[in-house]
Amino acid sequence: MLQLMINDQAITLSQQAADTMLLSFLRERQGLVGSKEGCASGDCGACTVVMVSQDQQQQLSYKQINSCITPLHSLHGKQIITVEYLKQGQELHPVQQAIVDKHGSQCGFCTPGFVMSLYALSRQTPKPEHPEEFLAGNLCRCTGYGPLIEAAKQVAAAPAAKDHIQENESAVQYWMGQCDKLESDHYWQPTSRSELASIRAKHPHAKWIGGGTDLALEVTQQYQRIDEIIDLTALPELTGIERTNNGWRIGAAVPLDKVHAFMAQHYPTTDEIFARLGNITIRHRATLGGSLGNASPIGDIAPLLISLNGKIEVDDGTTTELYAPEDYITGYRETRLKPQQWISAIHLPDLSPTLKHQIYKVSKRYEDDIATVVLAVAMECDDQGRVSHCVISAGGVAAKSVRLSQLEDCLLGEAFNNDKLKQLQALVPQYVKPIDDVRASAAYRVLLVQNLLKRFYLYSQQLPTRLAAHA
Amino acid sequence: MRKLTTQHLEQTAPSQVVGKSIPHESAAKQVAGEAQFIDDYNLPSGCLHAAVITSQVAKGKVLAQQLDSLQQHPDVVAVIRCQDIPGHQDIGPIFKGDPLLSENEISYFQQPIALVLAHSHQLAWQIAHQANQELIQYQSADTLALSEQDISDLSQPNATVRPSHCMGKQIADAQLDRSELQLSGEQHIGGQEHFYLEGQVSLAQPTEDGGVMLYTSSQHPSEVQKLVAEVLGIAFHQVTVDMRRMGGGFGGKETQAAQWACLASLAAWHCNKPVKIRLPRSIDMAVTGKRHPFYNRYQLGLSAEGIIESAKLEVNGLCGHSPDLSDAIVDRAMFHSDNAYNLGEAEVVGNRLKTDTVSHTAFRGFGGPQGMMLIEQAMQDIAIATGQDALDVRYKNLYRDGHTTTHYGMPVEQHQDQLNLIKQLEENSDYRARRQQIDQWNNSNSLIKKGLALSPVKFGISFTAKHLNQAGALLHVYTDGSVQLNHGGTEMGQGLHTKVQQIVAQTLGIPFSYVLITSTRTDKVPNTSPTAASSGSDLNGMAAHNAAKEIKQRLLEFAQQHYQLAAEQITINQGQVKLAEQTISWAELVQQAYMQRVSLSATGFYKTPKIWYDREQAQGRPFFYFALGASVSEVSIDTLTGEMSVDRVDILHDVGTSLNPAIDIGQIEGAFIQGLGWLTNEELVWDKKGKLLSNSPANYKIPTIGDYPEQMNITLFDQANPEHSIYRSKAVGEPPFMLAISAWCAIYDAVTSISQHKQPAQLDSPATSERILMACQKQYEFMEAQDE
Repeated sequence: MLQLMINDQAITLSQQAADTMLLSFLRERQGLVGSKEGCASGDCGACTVVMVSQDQQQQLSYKQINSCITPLHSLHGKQIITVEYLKQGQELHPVQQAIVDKHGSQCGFCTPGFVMSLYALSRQTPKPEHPEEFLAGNLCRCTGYGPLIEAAKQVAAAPAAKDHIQENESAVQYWMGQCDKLESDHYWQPTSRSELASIRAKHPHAKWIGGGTDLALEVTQQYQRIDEIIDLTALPELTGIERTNNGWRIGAAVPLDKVHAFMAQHYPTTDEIFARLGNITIRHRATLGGSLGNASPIGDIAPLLISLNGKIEVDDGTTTELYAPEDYITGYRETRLKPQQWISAIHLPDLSPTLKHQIYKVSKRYEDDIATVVLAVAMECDDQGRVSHCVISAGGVAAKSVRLSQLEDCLLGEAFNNDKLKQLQALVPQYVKPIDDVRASAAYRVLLVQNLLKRFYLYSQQLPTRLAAHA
Repeated sequence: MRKLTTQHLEQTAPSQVVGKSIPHESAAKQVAGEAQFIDDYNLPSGCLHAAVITSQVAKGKVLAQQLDSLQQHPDVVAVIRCQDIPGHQDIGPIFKGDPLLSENEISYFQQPIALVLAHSHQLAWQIAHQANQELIQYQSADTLALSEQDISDLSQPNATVRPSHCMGKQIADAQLDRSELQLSGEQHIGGQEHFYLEGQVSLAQPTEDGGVMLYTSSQHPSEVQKLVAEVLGIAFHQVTVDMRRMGGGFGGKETQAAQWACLASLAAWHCNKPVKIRLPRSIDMAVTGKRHPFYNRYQLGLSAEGIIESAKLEVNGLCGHSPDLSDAIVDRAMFHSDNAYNLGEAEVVGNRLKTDTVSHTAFRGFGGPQGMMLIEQAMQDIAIATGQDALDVRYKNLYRDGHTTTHYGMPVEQHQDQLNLIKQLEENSDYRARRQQIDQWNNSNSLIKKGLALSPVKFGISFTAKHLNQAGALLHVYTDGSVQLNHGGTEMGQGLHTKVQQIVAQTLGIPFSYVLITSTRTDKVPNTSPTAASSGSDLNGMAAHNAAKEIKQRLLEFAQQHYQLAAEQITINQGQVKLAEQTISWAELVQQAYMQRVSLSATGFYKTPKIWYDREQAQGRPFFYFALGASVSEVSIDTLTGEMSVDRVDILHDVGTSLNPAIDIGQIEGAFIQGLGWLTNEELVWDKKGKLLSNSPANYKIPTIGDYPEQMNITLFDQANPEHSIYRSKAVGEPPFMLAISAWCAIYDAVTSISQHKQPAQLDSPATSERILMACQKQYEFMEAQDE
């Protein structure tokens, strides 16, 4: 049985198709039409609801998610809060009132989504430094965002006050404790490697799912049916971050918002790439395993991993294997993953204190856009100032994320100076052969790689080179 | 950040409802998720869902199709094709050319071919999606016209969708040569996807009279009514259209909503069942028209100090496969190719190029923005050519004493106000000091360059099709004193209903809450104009005001008789009726009037005065007045990548006497950001086969919250409309969209700082990172050539 709580209603379901999305369930089956479909692809946020789940410390966490691309089954044992639940009688919730007071709604179609992101914001402790970033997953075509930024600031500054949802928390937690394991004959949430391996053996065509932010598009955009799904988010091996001998092992199904927080602390040069990966609403669901499993030619994660000498761990229930990402990804959306295997983790070595590392992303829009080009460089120099270690990786310039070893060879053993930079830049057109597409021309991409190498050079000379960060 | 200036109200009635920053009438419902859009309505029982099968070539014809086999599909209820249309097959709004369904002649990629009906939305689109891939074979045309380069000879029969048009007098090259300086330039201006958050949607129910009750997300219910009736071959009075609210329109639901309304109605009529059609986002983006891309050119004859003496301007709208509204849109581009400047002796030519794409359509500004971009680029180019700050070039060229007549013969009466507005903004934004700081910054920073620009807006208010400048309203007073008002305008978020509610309350002298504005319905107010051209509150507000005046007059006359008082002894204010020494409530007065058999229902009507235009002569006064504004933008660009950030924006905008400052500022702010998206991030890309590649929010990027400028100051210009508009306000929907041109000009300024403002920038729009970087490269090349 599939059990979930929608607002204060505990619901038990059987016979739901594996590819039923939360939004259609809310709108068509529950009559909860406050959440809207703007794009059905997780880009606009009109469908935003808040997902409540219990973390390891038995605390409830409140995160906004895109209901349009969240399979219903993946919410087993969780509470979903929709816009309808916030108002009490005739009284608007303070986050709703904030939008009214700031004149933050015009046509009103995106508004319920903004309300829910604001609600998630109101439940964060401590509040983020830039509260408007919490609304980055919501598009508004009318207001120009000014009033919504003000509403976010007001919500973030408001003193903590218990609302009716918080007052009901113990009942929710009690219900969560009562929930059995998901039972379904087409959607599985295994809790151990062996169980997973045996389900996989019986259902070799089932789709893997982490957060589903990409998989769901097959249903909502390509009009495909997905009959069987194996959900990887209930395995302890895939959902934790742990210390290894010389670094860290990050579970493949850890949501990206958690990965981001971890990486910002331990690998600070990666902060921006995670902050710009999808948007915050997507990051609450998306996973590293999903990003690497899909092997997008751009996928910001792969170039990042290459540059930090990370490895991809795959598992079949009995043995695990480690791959360098550039070997693991073999072509356009192709990997070495065998049918019996799943991606279980990534491994990252500790940063050498002398490593110079940068990763740059250029996209048409700063936030929530697919990269035109990603370039990552990691470099160490010996005490003579000669390059002793160098990894240069790029996304968006070929059918897959690549390691530009010819450029690395040009640097190794040499001093990285202005002449060397010029030499390196001159090599770029020889080895970087991108294509024209909807995002940019090939010529621009080549120029970007050249200029981003210059940016790294200037950085290595400790020269500031960046625009002030966006919101 | 956002400033609400206090407005002085010229026509202040004692109870101030008009002029107050009252929240949007639906705000509380919207935040609660209670405001209903058509997709939220409870479905009538038996409701079917429709999806369209669409062409997989851009031009050609269907060779063979197996649509009949679809009828056998177990989930298909019906398949509807063009031969099933009982009445008109073409739904072109003014000129023919827009077939409802097209099987034989394909005019653009993903043109609807047939309609499939099923029992759920998802099923219908799954079936249609599959049918697209499998059931139809095409003969595809070899060559496609996708840009102006593909159209060499305008005299060819298929090169244009409408004849070219010229305003002003022909300017010979010799005349340009008589000036001290000659300057020419060109630009490509990209189109824009509306990206209303609520996609196209219609729900049609057959009625017992053989007609249709239709709910549709449309800016133009009356036209939908007409077209549905024509498609079905029934009388207009058999079709009723109801429109409560749209989830955004921006022009994209002026003509573009009709096709889906007609298809839903056609299916409902055939199946005798309710039918809903809602376009998935990627379909919506592919099959509905967009803002026209333009290719523009100018040739100017200038005095040594950069004053335009003669001008030859050419604007070319890329219209898509059919005329739609392109005649008027390119006309508006021509009307606004002067923006706020006197062109001297001028010739303005407008061409309507035919391309093998969807038919481009209305979008906030309606061609005006594309026309203005030409002259604003020219201002930047003149500044480079004459070595001046672009603001000084603009000052010199503004309409001014002795130079107040536009190229279409209309006097610019408020030219002094325009000048004052710009001066005020120059001062408040600290333009000159910041110019110095930016020069210093640019001299000491090689990678990040800053730019600054001030650009004005002068936008003509009125439909250029004169007959559309009319509106009606229907007002009922019920015996509890509550008032219901219906008008011909549609609510798409712009706050029209809120403003009209304020106007009615103010006119009657009752509290705001006594008035309810109901959904726009063709059976309440007939023969309405689209809610477009920024005219919503000007026209409908005045019609509602006239209806309210009529009722108030009846009540006052009744009270005079009933209480034996003189007119001046009676006032109605805040719902209290003062009768000499005595006071009764509004409701009591209403009840007394009812008992004495006074009619408590009235219609109001309004038509805009003063306007006329002779298109043959290209002379007249097409606009009742101009809305004015100006903005200053400061940007930074990264010369390594072309990335750009907007650091500060100052806006001073003229809404006359504001009906609702919060709503007006909301319109200004939203329009600016939408304009910024058009000029920077939002890029439409078609492939060589004519397929739209930028067909989803994953690859078409409207501004997000992070694109909001670091600093944004918006102020309303404190000046009543000299024309007798509703409470001396001015229209606000479109004009501030063009304020974003200052951001494009600031990018231009930042780019040209590389050459110390010696070399003009070739910066097509949208100025994406790629275009900015490529423009920077050209500057570096110029500098290298200088060094050699």
